[in-house]
Amino acid sequence: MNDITAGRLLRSNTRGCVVGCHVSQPAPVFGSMINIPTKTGKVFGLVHDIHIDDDGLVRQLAAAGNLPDEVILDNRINRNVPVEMSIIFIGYSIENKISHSLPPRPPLSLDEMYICDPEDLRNFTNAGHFGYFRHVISRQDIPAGELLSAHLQAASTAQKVGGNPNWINEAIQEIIILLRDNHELMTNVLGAIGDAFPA
Amino acid sequence: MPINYINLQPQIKDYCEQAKSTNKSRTLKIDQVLDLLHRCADEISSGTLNNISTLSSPNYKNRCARPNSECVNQSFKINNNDQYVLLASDGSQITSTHHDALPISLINISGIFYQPNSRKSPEIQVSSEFIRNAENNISLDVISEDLVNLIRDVAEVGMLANWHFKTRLPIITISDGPLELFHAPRASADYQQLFQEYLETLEKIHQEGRILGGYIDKPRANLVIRMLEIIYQSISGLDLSGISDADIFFRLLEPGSRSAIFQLNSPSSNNYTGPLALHFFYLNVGRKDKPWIVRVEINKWAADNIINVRLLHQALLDQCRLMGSQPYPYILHRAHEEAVVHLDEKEKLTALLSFSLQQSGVEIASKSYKSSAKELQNRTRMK
Repeated sequence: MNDITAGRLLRSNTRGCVVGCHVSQPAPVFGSMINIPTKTGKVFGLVHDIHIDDDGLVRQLAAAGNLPDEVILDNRINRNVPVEMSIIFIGYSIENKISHSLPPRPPLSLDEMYICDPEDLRNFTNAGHFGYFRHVISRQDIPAGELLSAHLQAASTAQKVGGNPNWINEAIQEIIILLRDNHELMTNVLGAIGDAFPA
Repeated sequence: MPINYINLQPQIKDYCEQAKSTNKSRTLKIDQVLDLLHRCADEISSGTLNNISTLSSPNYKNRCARPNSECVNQSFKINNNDQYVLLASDGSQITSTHHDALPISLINISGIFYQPNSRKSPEIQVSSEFIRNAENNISLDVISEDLVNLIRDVAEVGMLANWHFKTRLPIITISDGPLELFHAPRASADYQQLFQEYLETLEKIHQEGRILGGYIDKPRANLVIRMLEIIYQSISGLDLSGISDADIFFRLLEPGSRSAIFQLNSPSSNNYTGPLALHFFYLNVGRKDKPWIVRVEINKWAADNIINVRLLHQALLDQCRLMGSQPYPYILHRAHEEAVVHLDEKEKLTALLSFSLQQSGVEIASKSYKSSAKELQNRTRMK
């Protein structure tokens, strides 16, 4: 497991959470799978939004024109401007038993978040039968197609390294089944996947 | 909504009319001051100005400028690109009144070290200290705001004097506000001692070979105008009230230019002797279409060295340009950001102290009922 923290939890609910991290920390990218250790196990999630808030000084500096490196570094390193990441929960584990259901209890403020390494990804995606896809597909307020596509890319790479190159085909089959009654979203999701896996 | 706006409506009209007429007379006065300034410059250069000695004895009526070596109506541009490093400090404080549950007197001082063109992020230091009494114990009494302010001022220059770093470049130190301490020195012993410490710290900055500038944004002073009033007091009916030096230098200084350096003549000038003697100049840090005049206080040791003055001039312009349309030294703004203590932090500190005191078995006084009543939540709408 990756043991470098990628941020700490700011707020959470049953379906997701927001994590804050400093710009100098190793930040997960859009679609990364993360885990948040809890007392009983781990909560797993996907990063579906990354936002960086501004403030009055940043707005004024942005309008000022050419900025020297020292000012940019000062704002990135010294000033308290956290990068915020929104996470959608996709499962949890208790005593190493992985479930693709929502966690029974959300993690708490200031819990640490870690980026899942390829082994974590394989373990999670091999458990069950793609049950976690429904958490992504059911959310209207996130870019589900883009998020699934980014996740499938990372997971497929990890599965190939683990000797399971067919995993991606099974995953796409499952998405088609799940979205058979939602043509618009299926087109959207498959389009995004098609962009990520060009023929 | 405690203000009676209906009551104010006719008064707002009066306010505007009065402002309009004052503005008209101000323009005439500014023209008159500019004429006098040019006349003063001519008379000094021709040696015909005799009564300049009236400016020499500091007293309460004579808080004014005094010509230094440069021509009083001249402006100075710079065109150099010398290397330097910058150190700025600012401070903030927590003070208490007897209405508070716990008496807290604390200063929070920040310092920021900035190396232009280094591609390094600035270094920051923040020091938070409870105020201590003569026995070096943390003071548990309510301390007057004036005294806390003075302690903070001394600590701010302390940051500029005592932060050491390796550099071969000239070190420019900037503080927010005048170098001349407000209403200091005062009669009481603790004020006197702090003021002495302040002077010693200034001397240390001098000994370290650092250049010190006190940056005063939107200055209200009328030091140059007062100088002209004193020199030309024989002109009958001369009334230059209601205008400030900034009004004059808005007209006189092009963007990026500074005024001549003046000596500062004030009730406390006699305390700043030798290399610490107070001087100042005005600087236009704005743009062509939006001038902005600031005042910069320096000591004699900086004023006497034109290279130092040019460096300070250049550094302030460089810093102000970073902030774009509202020029103000970036480093001073950052020092302020790092130092400022907000009300909620006072509340957090009070809670932390209360908790620790309770754990130690110390009984805590409650805040006054007057203070508690003021903090009651406003009426809210039922949902």
